[in-house]
Amino acid sequence: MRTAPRRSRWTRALTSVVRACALLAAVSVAVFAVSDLLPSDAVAVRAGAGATAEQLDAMRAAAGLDAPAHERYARWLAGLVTGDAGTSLVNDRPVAVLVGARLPATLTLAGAALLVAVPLTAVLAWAAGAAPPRARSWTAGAVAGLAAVPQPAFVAGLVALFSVAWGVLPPVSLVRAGGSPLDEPTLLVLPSLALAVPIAAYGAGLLGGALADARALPHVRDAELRGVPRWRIATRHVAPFLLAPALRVLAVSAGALVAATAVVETMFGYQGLGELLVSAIATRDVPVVQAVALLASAVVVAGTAAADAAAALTEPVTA
Amino acid sequence: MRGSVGVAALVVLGLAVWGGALAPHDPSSTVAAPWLAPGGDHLLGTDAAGRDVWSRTLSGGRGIVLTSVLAAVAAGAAGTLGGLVAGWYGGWPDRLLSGTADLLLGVPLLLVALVLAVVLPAPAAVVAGAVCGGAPLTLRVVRDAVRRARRTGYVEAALGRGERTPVLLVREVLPGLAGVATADLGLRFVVALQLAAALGMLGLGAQPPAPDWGLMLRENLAGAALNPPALVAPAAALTVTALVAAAFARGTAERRTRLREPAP
Amino acid sequence: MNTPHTIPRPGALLLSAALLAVSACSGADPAAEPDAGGDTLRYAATGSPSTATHDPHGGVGNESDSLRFGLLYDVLAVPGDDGTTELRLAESVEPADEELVEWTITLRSDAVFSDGSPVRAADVLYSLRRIEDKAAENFGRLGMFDFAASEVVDDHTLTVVAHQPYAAAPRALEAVTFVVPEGTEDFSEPVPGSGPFLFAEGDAENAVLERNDDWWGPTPPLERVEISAVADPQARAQAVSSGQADVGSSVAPSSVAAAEEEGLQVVRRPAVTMYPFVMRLDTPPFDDPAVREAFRLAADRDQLVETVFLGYGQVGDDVIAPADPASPETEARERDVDRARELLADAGHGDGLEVVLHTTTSYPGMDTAATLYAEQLEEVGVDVEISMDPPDTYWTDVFAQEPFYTGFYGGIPFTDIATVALLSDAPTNETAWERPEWDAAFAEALSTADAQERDGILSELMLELRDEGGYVVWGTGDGIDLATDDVADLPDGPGFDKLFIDQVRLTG
Repeated sequence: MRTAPRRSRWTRALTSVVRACALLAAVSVAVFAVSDLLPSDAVAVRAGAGATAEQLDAMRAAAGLDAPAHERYARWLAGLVTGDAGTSLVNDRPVAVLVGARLPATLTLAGAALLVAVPLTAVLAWAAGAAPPRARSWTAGAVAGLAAVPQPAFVAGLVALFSVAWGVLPPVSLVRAGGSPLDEPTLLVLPSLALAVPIAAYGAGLLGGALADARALPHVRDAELRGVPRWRIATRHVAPFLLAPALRVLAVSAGALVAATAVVETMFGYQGLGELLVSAIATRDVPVVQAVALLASAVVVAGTAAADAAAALTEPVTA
Repeated sequence: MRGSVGVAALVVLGLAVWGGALAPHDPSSTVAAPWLAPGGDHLLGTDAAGRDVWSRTLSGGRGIVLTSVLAAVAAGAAGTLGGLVAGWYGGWPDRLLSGTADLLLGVPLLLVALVLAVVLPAPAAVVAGAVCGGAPLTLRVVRDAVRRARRTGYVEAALGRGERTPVLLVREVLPGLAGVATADLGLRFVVALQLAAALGMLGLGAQPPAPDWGLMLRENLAGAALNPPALVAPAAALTVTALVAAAFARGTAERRTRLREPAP
Repeated sequence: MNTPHTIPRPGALLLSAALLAVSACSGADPAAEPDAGGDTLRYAATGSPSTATHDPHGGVGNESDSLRFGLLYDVLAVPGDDGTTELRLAESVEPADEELVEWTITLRSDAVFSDGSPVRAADVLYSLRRIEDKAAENFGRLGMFDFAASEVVDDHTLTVVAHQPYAAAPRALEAVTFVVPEGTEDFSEPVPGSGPFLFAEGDAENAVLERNDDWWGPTPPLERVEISAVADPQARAQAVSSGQADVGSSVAPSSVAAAEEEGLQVVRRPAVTMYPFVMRLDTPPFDDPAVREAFRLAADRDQLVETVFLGYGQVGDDVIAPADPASPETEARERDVDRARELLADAGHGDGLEVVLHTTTSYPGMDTAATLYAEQLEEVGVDVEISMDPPDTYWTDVFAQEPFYTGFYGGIPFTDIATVALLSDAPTNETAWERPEWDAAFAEALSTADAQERDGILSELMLELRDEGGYVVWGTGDGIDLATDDVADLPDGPGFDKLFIDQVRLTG
């Protein structure tokens, strides 16, 4: 556990916010640059084989694709700031509308997954870091193993059990036209489990270590020797040391969860932002890829910064 | 017991890479009707295009595992190098490297790999994603280990005798890192395998009809009810490979020194 | 030690944001929601959600979009039974001159847009011109017309002018002529239409349509249609069997058996998919007619249809448009390995011949068709290397470029195929089929007013192409739709017929 002189706390909190802004700026340049290197652009994909070179050039000019890169970046950034993320190259619809239409579905799914993931992380972290010593090696191994399973394989396992073997839940979860995913909550069960379990195991692996560290602190040992009741040790002596790592783990898990929606939504045919990102990559729809990737990064970066700042403000001092 | 994990890891990796040689059918060709149930000539039945699932499972690990090994080595090498420099010299190189590592850790590696997959072929995107997401973790572990080593009396004494840095690094510091680095390599491999599986499943990796565990999950997911092994076999193959690698990393770490992902 | 008081928790924030969003979208009283059965049809259609569009005039790649346009907008005509043209918004389409160049279209007078304004000839001409302006995206769908020279006569009459005599004009105006109000330029949202349904809510990939009680045509039996774009065929099938949709269109043949077991309805639409092998006549070895004939004789058509379409299709005999009313009656083309070997030997390829066959995975079974055909070609002594090309670039880099590849046609009429791919000046003359006499005969057919006489000429042209051209048309696959058993009157005709579902009923 690091020592933190009191007066530097606010500085550290502020640093994490500044760093988040720098990171976001770097990510925006990277996202723009990468999408800019596409082998064939959306105009070619959209026009198909029938179009002549002149027609393609005209379409490119109309889409503003013929300007130099820095100009397009500046235009894009200015647009983002004013809430205009550009227009899809594939279907001419505003990117903000496309993203807005998908946002509720993904938020619902991510929310449901977090509802499962947070308590599950706590339970698994306890198993990996605080279970009775004899069992701990085994439980920690099991948690690490669960975290190692590739997510698509885990989804496949869920489908094989719940849909194929037992037939209780469908292998696809379509968001109903004009409805909300909550109209049929059973459709959310498999996708949210598919998101929550691997991430909870991963988070628990991280947190379990911190838990073991906190329990090994001298003052905790000391309290144990003095015969302080277990619940009191847990709440007064261990918990404060876990708060900061728990916040960071929560942020990391939430970030991984956002990224994992690409896999889980695609596998279940659930029409959210992750699925939009994947299909936009396939159609080379640069503005959509840029907007979704940047939005996801922003959520992750903001979460991490908030957790860092909060951790900096609350981390206990050990001399 | 621990040796047996190493042997199991070697066997699984070997099967994944060279198992294609045991395939009874051409894994990419239509050899029978679609979605045949297991039995007869087809141990695990056939998939949507009438290809032999057993042959595809045997052949489908090569690309994904080799890519993951490469990615793990690249991430481990980059992280170890950075960690050596940061831990040994401290000061501004440390701040620069650790700061960059922290920045990279701020973005989920799947997102990095996805965006990269737009411009790079999938294996390169997996390697790049695994390096961006894995090297920083290796860097932290190695950096801490080097700093500890540097503070030990014998290294300080050797420095006092005027021994050269590279000699010291190779003779005194690196041997102590071997265990950490091996275990770390296992963890990097697991992450790279997860990435490669995700990209394959999303259709950004191997293209049909090539056999690939990730791609097979995509192809056979919705039709799993028609022939469940078509879905379960590649999922099991991926899981076993990942578990063996994770167990190997864990075993190595426990034997040498306590290692886990640095607490966030 | 410092005791925490209030800590910002990003996870908690995210959670509450999610719950807010959730409660916002489920604000409607569940009891007021229409139920799944009854008068609402839920249709899971082919479509990649990311390419979903509100513009009916560009390159509409998604069936989910075309289907929606077919309900929201009126078209001049639709494909009728047995290949005839059934008029819709047009009351008549008649030639205005002897040459069949100028055509007079009279519109019905009772069509009204959803914004209350009447549908006028100016709206129709505006829409037709807009389709032509987007020729680069829609493969020159209406390229036979010169809309600059076309004009509005009065509110309900217009004349359209073809570039040259075009007897098939009424058919060319089928299905794709979605009419929007004159001057509409912003298609980022649905625009007013005069079709049997109105856009109620949702967006392009997940749309809710409600019956338009002011439509001029027969009242649609359904009150509501919900159309979702679902990319994976198996996912569409699963959507129906798990009760998330009433209709799943264009599913894979392999899911039919399971669907029948579950008591689902299976609707087959004939000759919807065709993956011909395309040989370029200007590139060796395909410049030799004997080689082309050998390649046609090498195909085991039954095996191809059985494997690629699982038998849900018809064996082809190299006629490029077998579902076209003008299609000639032909004898089945049997496989003849010996004759094929003999032809190849005579052509100087007795020691073997090496070719590269390109294919991709854009449509299910394209790859299977190529690999199987390659095996069949091996049996006549041709060494085939399969080049599996990425679907993203196949239609730009391989299609109409490579000398030997797997093509695709989706059940379009012969005249369209000819205009796009067979005339000497066709934009994508993929087989390099250049025959002035053939072009002349085609022009003659199109200036023949009598339908039977015209079909006779077209039929001859198809026969010539069949025997001497660069296509191996080994078979056609059925379009297969799954539906719950209370769905009635789903369209089962070829081509664009499937887009017009306004008279579908629910019996349950």
